[in-house]
Amino acid sequence: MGKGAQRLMTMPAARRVAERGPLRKLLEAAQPYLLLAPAAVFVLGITVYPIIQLFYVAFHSTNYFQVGAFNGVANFAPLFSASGAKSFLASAIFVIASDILTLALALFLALVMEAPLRGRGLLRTLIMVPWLVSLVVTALLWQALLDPNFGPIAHLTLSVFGWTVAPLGDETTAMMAMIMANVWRSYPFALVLILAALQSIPSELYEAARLDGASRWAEFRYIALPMAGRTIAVVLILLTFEYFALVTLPFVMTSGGPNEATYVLSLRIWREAFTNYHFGYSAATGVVVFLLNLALSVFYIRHFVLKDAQRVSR
Amino acid sequence: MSTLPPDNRTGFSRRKFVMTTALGTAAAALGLSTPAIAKKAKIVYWSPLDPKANNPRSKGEAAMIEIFRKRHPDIEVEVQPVPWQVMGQQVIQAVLAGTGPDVAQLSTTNLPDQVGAGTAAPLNEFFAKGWSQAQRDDFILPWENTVYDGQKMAVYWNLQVNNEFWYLKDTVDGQPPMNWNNLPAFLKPAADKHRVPGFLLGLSQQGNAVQFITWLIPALWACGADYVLPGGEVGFANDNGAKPFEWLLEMVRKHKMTPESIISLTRDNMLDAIKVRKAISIPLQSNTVSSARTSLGDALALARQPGPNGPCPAFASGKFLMMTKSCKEREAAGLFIEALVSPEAQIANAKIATEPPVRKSVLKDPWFSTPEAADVRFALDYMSASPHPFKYPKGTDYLQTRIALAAQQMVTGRPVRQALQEVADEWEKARKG
Repeated sequence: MGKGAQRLMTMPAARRVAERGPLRKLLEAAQPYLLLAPAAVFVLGITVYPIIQLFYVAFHSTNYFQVGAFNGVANFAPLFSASGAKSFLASAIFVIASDILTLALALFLALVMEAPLRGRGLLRTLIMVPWLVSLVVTALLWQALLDPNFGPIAHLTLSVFGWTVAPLGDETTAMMAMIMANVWRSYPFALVLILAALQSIPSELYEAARLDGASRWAEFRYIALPMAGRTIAVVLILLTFEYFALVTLPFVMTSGGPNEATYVLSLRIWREAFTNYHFGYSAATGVVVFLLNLALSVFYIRHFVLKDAQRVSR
Repeated sequence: MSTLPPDNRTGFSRRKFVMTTALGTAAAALGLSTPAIAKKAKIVYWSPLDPKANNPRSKGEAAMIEIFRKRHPDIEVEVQPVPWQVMGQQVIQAVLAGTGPDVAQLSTTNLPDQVGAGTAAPLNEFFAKGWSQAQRDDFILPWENTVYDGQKMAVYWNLQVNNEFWYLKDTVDGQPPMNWNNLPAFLKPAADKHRVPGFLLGLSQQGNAVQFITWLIPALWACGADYVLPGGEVGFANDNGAKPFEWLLEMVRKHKMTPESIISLTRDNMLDAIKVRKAISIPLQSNTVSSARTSLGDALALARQPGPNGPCPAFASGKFLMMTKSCKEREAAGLFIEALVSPEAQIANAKIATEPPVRKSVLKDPWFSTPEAADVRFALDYMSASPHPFKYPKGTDYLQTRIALAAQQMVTGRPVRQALQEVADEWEKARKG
C-alpha cells in the first residue's frame, strides 16, 4: 500500500470527503439516484404516464382512438345523468358491502384457523380454494348456480316451495348475488394477510390477559383487533382499490343489468371505451374513480394507519 | 526425450492450424451464403370458433382451413380463438397496439366500428379489382354491405338468418301462427302443461344485446318502423316503433307467456333454455341451429318470425372476414380469405355445420336437396321469400345496448314511448359527438 493510500485510510471520514474533488463528490452523492434511475423510469412509464394520459384524454374530445380538441368538462356530463348516478350508487353498494362482508368473513375464518383444531392444514387448504379460481370461471360458476332455467338454486326452490326464482333478473337480488360471488372469490386474500397478522401477536400478551381474567371476547377486542388493525386497514385499502376496478365479474355475471342495477363505474369505463367507443367519457369516469380511490386511501391511512401508529408510539 | 524439432511435435504445425481454420471459416461462410430454404409465410387468424372444439361449427371451420392448407402448403395458419362477445374490442385494441392478427372473423355488427377505428385494411387489390361482376354477384348478401367509401373492407364468410322462430314441435299442436296476436293461444297449453315459459327473449346487454336486436329489427320493419333511417336518426321513436315493445310487454304482463326475468337473459341463456326444454319457443339465428339440433334432434322445428300482419321479413346478415391494418403477410392473408369464401370451402362448411353458404353457385350442389340440408334450405327460402336490405350503421353496438336497456326499463314499468324517446335523444347526441 502506498503512503498516500495509507494516509487516506487513517484520515477521519469527514476530512477524506473534504479532500476529494467536487465532481467526485457530486458523483458519489448522485450514485444511489443513478442506480435507481432505470427502475424509476420504468415505474414512471407504466404508472405515472398512463395517469397523465388519462387526465389528458378526459378533457379532450375523442373519435374512436383519436384525441381531438380540448372540450373542458364535457366528458364528465354523462356521469351527472340518472344513469351516472345509478353507477355511483351501484359502485358504492358493491364496494362497501363487499369490503364489510369480506373483512368480516376473513377475520372470522382467521380466528377459527388460528385455533388449535384437528385437520387445520386441510381446512386451510380448502378455505383457500376460491382464490385459485379465475374471475371468469367464478362469474360463470355463480351465473350457472343462479340460472333461472336449470340452476340448482332455482331447481331447489321450485321443487321444494314451488317458487320460480331468478336472482339475476331482479335489481336487488342481482346486486346481492354479485356481492356474494365477489366475497366468495376474494376473502382468501384477506384471510391470508389477517391470519399472518394474528399469528405474529406474541402469545405472552394473551397469557397476561388470561392471568388478569380477560374473557375470549376481551382478548379479541383489546389484543387481537388492535394488533392486527394496521394489516386490516391495508387489506381494506387493497380490496377497495380492487373492487372499484373490477370489470370481469359484473361483465360476465350481469352485464350491468338488470336495468343498470349492477352497472358499476368500472364496467361503465369499459363499456364506454370498448362498446360505445366514447374514450373521452371512459377516461372521465376513470379520472373520477382514480380520485375517489385516492381520497379513500388518504382517509383510511389518516384514520386507521397513522392514528394507530401514534397510539403505539405513545 | 523427443527427437522431433520443437515446432513439429504434434505433426500439426501452426501454419497448418491457421490454414485449416481459414478454410473451415470460408466453407462455413459459403454454406451460410447459399440460398436458405424459403421461409414459410405465417398468418394469424382470430376466430370465435376453436378448431379443436367438438361441435359442428368448429369442425366446419376446421374443414375450411384444411382446404386452404392443401391449396397453399407454403403458408402456415395459426388459429387463435377469441370469444365472440369481445372480438370487436380485442381486434381494435390489438391492431392499434400493432399486435393484431392478420385476419379476423367478426360479427356483422362490428364492421362499421372497425372501419371507423381504422383497423380494417381495404381488400380492393384482392377482391374488388380482380373479381368480375359475375363473381361479385355470386355472393348472396349484397356486395355493397361491406363497402365503405368505395373500399371493400371485408368479405362475408357465412350467411345467417337472424330471426328464425324456433319451437318444440312435440309439445305444441300444429304449426305456429304467423300473426303474433295468435301466438299466446298457440303456446299456452304447452307452457301450462310443462310449467315453462311459452316464449323467451333475452334483454341482457351482454354480447351487445344481439339476441334482442335481431328479433327487434325485423319486428320494426313489419310494424312499418325502422332501426336507423337513411339520414342516420333512429326510426323507432314513433307509434309504429313502439308496437314490438308493446307486444312483448303483453306477452309478459297479460299473457304470462314470458317471465320478467328475461331482462337478464343472454343469447346463450336462450339457447341453453331451449336445449334443456325450459322454453317452448325462442327467436334465434340460423347459425346456432346445429348446436340445438344435437340436443333436441327432430323435436326442434323452425318457422318464420311471427309479426303483426303475418311473418316478419327475413333479417339476413353474416359473419365476415377482415384483413387488419397490422397484417404482415397481406398476400397470404388475401389468399386465406379467398380460400374460405371459395365454393369448395363453403360446401364443406354447409355440410358439416349446416350453415347457409355465402355463394349462390354453391346451391347447385346436390347436397342442398337432401334431408340433412333442410335447416339450410329453410333459412335460404325464408330469405328469398321476404328479403330486406340492411346495412348496420356506425355505432350500432352502442345503440343496441341502449335499446336493450330501454326494454329492460319498460319491463320494470317505464312507459314505452318515453323510454324510446330517450334512446333517440341519446343516439342523436352520440351521433353528433
